[in-house]
Amino acid sequence: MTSLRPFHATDLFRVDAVNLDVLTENYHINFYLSYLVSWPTLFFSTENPRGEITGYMMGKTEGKAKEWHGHVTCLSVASDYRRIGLARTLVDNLERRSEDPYDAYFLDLFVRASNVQAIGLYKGFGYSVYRRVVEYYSADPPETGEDAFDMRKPLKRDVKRESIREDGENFRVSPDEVYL
Amino acid sequence: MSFRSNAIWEAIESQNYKLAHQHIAKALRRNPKDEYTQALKAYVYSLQRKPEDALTIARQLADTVPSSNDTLDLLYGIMLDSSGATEAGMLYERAAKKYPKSEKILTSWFWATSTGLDVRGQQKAAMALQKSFGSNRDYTLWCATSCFLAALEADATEMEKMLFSGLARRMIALVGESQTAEEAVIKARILQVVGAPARDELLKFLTDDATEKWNNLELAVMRLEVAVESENWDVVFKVAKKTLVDECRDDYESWKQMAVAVKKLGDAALVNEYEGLLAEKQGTRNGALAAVFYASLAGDVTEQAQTYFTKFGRKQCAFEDLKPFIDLVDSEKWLAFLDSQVAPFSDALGHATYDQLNVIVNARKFVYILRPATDSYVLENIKLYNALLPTLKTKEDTEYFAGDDLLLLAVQWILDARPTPFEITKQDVVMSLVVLLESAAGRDKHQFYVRLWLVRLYLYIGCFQQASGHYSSLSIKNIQLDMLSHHLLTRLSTLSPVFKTMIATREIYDMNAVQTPKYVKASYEAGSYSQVQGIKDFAKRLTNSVGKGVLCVEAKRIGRLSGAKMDGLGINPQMIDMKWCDNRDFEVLGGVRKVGESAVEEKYRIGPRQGANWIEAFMLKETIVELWANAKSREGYASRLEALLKSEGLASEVTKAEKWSLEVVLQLAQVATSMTQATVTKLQTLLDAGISEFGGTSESQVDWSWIHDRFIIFETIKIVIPSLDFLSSTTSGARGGKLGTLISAIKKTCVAKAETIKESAKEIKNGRDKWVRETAERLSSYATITALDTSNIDIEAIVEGIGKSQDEALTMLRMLKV
Repeated sequence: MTSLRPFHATDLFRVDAVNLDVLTENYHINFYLSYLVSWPTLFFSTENPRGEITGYMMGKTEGKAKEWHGHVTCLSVASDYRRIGLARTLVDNLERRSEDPYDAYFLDLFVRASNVQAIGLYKGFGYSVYRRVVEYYSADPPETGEDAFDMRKPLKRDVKRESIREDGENFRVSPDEVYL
Repeated sequence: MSFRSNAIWEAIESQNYKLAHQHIAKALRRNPKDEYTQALKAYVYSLQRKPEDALTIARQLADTVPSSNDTLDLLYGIMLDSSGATEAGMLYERAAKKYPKSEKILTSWFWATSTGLDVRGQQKAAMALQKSFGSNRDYTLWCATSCFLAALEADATEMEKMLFSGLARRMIALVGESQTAEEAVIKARILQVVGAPARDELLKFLTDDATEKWNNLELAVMRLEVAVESENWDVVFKVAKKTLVDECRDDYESWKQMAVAVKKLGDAALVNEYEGLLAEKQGTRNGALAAVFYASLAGDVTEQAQTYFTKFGRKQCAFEDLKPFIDLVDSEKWLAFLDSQVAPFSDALGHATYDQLNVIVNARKFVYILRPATDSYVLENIKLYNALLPTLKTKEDTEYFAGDDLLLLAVQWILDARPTPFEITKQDVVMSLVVLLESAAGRDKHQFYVRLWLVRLYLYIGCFQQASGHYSSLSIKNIQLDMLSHHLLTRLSTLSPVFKTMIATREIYDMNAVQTPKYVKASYEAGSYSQVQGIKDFAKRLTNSVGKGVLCVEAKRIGRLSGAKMDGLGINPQMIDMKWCDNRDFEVLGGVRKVGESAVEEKYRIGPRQGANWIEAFMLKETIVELWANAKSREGYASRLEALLKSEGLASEVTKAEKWSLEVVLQLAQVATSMTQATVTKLQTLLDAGISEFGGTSESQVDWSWIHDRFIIFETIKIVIPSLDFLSSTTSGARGGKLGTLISAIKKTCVAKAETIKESAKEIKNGRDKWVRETAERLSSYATITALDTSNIDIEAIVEGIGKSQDEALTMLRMLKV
């Protein structure tokens, strides 16, 4: 049983079942609060009927002109609630909100080029690789950083679907060329 | 800021308070009337933890009603920390009265009170700001929001709730139509807090097209919530239908409330419509569960639960989804059905798919709940676990092996003392479970429930280092530390009194103090009214966290035991009256159980759950110990501690040894008040009784309570001896004669008993090799261990690890000096 709920700061006390997962990053307090203040409608959670948080989405908007878009900053689902479509629910809701009220052209996210599972997941949601950001994820020397795929899905406003391209995996850019 | 102020701030920031005072003195010689520099002087005193000196200056300055914002800000912070919100608030109130047209002062007042979490002060400031500058729409919105927050304060009387909510309603009406979704949200929340008188208006507002056009999740949730609260089932049906059908949002709460509305309205057409929708959407998880819920309104849900499980039993969450309905199924039919779900692949478990694994685990969870007398449960689970191990080959590293739940269930069964066909001696139960879970942890790198249980079980048998290793692997950090660090740090001072482990947790409270107030302010400036309450509550909960209170006490006690000092986490008398908020998460170890049942982990905690009473008692103790020279201040605290020791609230939060240590300090306070043969003899009797009870050298197993009791004895002795030295040096006639002899005897006995404890610790350590061999042999013979595939672990190495870890605590005890 899943219901979507807006996320509030006090919900940070209720996300252990989600955030104990090895893949979920735990940010500093100010990071979460800055999202809640700046993009309150793009930070929401899924809950079970007992009010326990089973997943959440942190999103934002950025860019100018035709690069105005919604962005998935963090999508996390509790280990006990995987493979039931919660990620889809969360992403769908972010797409809806990015369209209305933000009127964005597209939604995007960054994913490690080696993360086959996540790439497959987002392709299933209609996302495609727009570009490869070389060494986006830093590493400690002598290791080199890992590439990221910038994956995108055009929204209603992008009538001509200009925000996506073919063969994005081979379209290489440096991190400097990407929004910060 | 002037050059001189810069120099003062540089000294402050490098914590060179002596230099800061020197710069301040120089500046004041040049300009004795400089308010800001005087305020800086008070500020430096407050940083030096000299609240009385700081307050004296602050109050003198406050009487002059300064007009400078910087000065007011500084003074406000000092007064807020040293004397509380009421006096701090008066500072700005007086300034606002004297300078009513100063927008700067009024906004400073608002920011100081809002970021200082003084809601009542904030409400006053907001009213003053709105009154003087009402043409500023933002100020009116801030005022409405502030009145709304004031109405929600826990200590607001019914009259105040009515007053503040009424004010909020008036203010929000002044801003006219909502210009943003956020404004619509705060308006709705204000109408909601007004209650019944505004309910119709609220519902109308929420269902109005103008509000719906915001497409806002907060408002959508409120819409359904308010319709349900007002029992307007027609509206509930319409709102839920809109979500599910028109907006195609598969929202369980909408499904649920629509079902309730259908039942309440009793309209056959609506029943048909709802049941048609259920039939159409039964392929979705929410739809299938809604069918179960709908059936539950009439009674038995067995059939619908079976339908649900057939489709979704292969999902990990299936058990949790159906658990609320467990009392509405025919247990035997249900269990037979589950057997039929598992049967098709029960002969090929080694090749079970991810989905099949989940079916098995979900089924076993139901057996746990519904057949609590099945004595074969544990061994069956272990057998299943072994059979499923080959499936690990296809598992991703970052995924969890659902089979681990089978071992966790077995562990829970044994801890709950449920029937088994085998015996494990009491002393070996926890260690044997550690072996089971180490095996699981070795095969499943990231499974956090297994690791959290290992932290708990290791701590329970006094193995802080082993617990710490597993805790570290969880990478608990930032805000998680407030909710989860108690799993390792509970009673740290009496298990492993070292500062290092608590530093990260301390830092989260420092971070909150610096970072969160900025966002309280930012939420108003950005007009993010839906977040204002949450951020304020978050700040308050973290500032007043039980975790923080406990840590402050523990830091003091670790300092006493180790002789080291840790910055931050000081105790000041104001904290004794703090209303603490308990953010700790125990539920994460809650395990499998029926709704409303208590968790097995409660029986295996590291002592009674510490809370507000524990914090108060130990803060009183620490304060008393610092006030031997100040009878007037001390006696008030001693009376409070005495009353608290008699309370049931404290009794449920302290161990016996902790209670004794508090009683000893209380008796010391009596001695400090009147050092006589009688009071000192009573102290002696109390000491002897406690040391004998908690430091006995009879054959007893080392576990957390063994270690805890002995550290408490040492900590208490380390208070008693220097206190007696101090008191006898300041009491005439106490050095010689009978009193002097008695005091010497007490000190000698304490030292001797401490040595005896050290000796017994040494004996245990010396016998360790034999203990490891014998224990490993015993554990290896238990049915649970022989049944488990332990090919990935070395049982003797695990037992050796347990021994080494306990020995670390014993070594720490032996190194203590009294």
